[in-house]
Amino acid sequence: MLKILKNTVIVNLLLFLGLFLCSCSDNSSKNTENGKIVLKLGGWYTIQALDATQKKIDQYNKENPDVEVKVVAYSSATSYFQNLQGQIASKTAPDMLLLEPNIFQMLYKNHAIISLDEYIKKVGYKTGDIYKALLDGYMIDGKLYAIPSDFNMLALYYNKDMLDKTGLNVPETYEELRSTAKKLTTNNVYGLNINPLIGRIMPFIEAFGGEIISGSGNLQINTKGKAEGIKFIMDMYNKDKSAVTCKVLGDGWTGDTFGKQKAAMAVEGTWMIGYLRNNIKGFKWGIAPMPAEKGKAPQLMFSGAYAVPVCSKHPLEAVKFLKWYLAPENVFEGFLAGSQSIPVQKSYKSKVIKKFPELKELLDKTQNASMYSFGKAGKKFEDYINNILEILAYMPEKDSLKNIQNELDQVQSRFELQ
Amino acid sequence: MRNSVINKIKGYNSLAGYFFIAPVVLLMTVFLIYPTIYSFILSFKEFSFFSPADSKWVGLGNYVTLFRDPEFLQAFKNTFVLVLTVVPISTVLALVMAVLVNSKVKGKTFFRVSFFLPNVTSTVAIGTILGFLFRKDSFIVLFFAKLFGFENISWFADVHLALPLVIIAMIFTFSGFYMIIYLAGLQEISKDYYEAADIDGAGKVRQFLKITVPLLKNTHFLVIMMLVINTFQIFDQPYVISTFGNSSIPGGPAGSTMTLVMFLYTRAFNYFEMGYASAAAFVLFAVIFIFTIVQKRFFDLKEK
Repeated sequence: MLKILKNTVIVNLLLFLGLFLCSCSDNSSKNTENGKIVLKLGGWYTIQALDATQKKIDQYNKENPDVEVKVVAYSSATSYFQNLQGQIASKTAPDMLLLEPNIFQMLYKNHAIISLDEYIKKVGYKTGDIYKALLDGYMIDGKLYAIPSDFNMLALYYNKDMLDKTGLNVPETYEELRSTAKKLTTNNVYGLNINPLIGRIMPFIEAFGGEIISGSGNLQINTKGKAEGIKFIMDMYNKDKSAVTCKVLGDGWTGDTFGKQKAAMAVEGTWMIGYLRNNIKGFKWGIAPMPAEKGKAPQLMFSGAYAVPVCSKHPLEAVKFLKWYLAPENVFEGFLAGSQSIPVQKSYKSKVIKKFPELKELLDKTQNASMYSFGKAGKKFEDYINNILEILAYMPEKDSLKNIQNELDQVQSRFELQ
Repeated sequence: MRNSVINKIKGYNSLAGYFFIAPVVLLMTVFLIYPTIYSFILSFKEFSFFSPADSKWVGLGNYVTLFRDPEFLQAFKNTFVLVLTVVPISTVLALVMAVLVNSKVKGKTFFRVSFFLPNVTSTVAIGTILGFLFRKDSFIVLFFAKLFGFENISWFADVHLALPLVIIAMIFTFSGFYMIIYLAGLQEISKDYYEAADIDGAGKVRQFLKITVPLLKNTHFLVIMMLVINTFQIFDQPYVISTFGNSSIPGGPAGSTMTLVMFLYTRAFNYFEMGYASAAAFVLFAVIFIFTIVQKRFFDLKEK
């Protein structure tokens, strides 16, 4: 018996040794190919965006014969971040990582990304022209850890034909939004399509006086205005029955619900513009900033950014590529091609408006907009609060103001502990 | 001389044997034994693959937190509801279907294929089709609305109806597979018993209850044990159904379809809390282990 065990162990040890030697091949060879520095760009892309990205990269590779940039593309953010975990652990992560703010915080917390200040200085990348809210979202203790790539804003879409037919105006205040939605609701059409996500409801909360992140960067969940802002939208779902979620209608996303004219208005990011422009022909639609309450009209910006992982062997070359790749004219080229990315440079705003005058009103509000980020609380908080919003939206018996306040108090205590 | 040659050949033979089993042992060690041990160690740590060097030993901390975590407790409750509904219904359905396709009905091959088809169909496809069938204004939803006074609402968007939809999806997928196992069990039963029962004047129902059911005891054990394990480990059906219709949070709406495996998946891959997720995995392992032991004892007891 002992002999059998001994022999099995020996044979397996030999095989292990073979595997180990194979895995120990020179790693550095992966970062250079035919004398060229190989840089990997990681992210999640739609087919159109990937196509546009590949074209830009081919151009860069042609202009820079000493560097070869390759795309490591994923079809969804979920699969990208799942793979990233293993890649960072095995030090094989791409040199440039596309991140969203809540994952960015998690990577920073785990010391997985580096500060880019030194490299930005070396390659002469100017950050002064970038919208402050976006830059602040990726800065920690005065250091920049990721370069914002592009942005989108939350907006109110409206069906022009339906509004004209009923003689109603585009709502400018939250009360107007509620009354207009009520009037537009019929047997087949809901007044407003909005999903119970914090990324859609945040302007409502802020309009009623609540702030998710305080000036000091701490979560401020249980302040008075938040419950009222949430209650307002829950009443539209459950009391007025003038607002609806995509899930209730069985639609994949707001583009479907609004595009199929199941809702007269919709709250969604500006990434829907490309979809509506390319797919919707049957009716006229318009876009407006989120409404105001007591003179305050909070707006929300969404932004992705590129960071460089600790394991990258060529951080300087990576930042040099990003400087070129994220140049506003390149980003805007992508926007025109349907990749839904607005350049993050303030000076480029007028060029975007010149091409798309309908975005003027919205882009004029960027100065006072806040970025969609929950600081250190990150993705976990985002999912947690979204779960509560789902409970309130889908369980009308729980949407009293007192109960909403109670739920928010619990979130505050839970995330204060962490 | 002759003995030494024989011994030499024997030695080569046994060495060849080790080489033959080595790949399997190696694969098992690398992909099963080592990860299991590593995961068990991780369950006592606060660990993220982003920075393994920063991991902290927390002892039983992860396990204590688990049983105070309302989301874990909800996942636990939902999984138990699934086990308590899916296992008995699927077992009975599989048995009835097996008896049906084992009898002399016309077109039984067609029925055998039809009943087994959901099992070989992609879970995502089944989840998506059920999502479409149970959406607002669909004929099934309107039928339930008319018959039982349910609200005309997409089932996967309703906190009270999403889990029943998951149950339907699971029963639909599972029953066909277990029907095949029962079918194999049924074909083992000698026809003599039924002939004797016929002579004694026993009806078909009585024959089923007094002959078929007791003689399938070992099959019952196998089917129930496999169903319990599969249901405890369920992930795909509730994942597809809960993320149907613009929702990025698995287990929704409002956590009503969150299962134990989905819980550990979100902790490990969405929040990168590998230690916490490993603790949840070992709690799940313990639950399945206890259930299997209890079941085995129950069936052994019945035998005595």
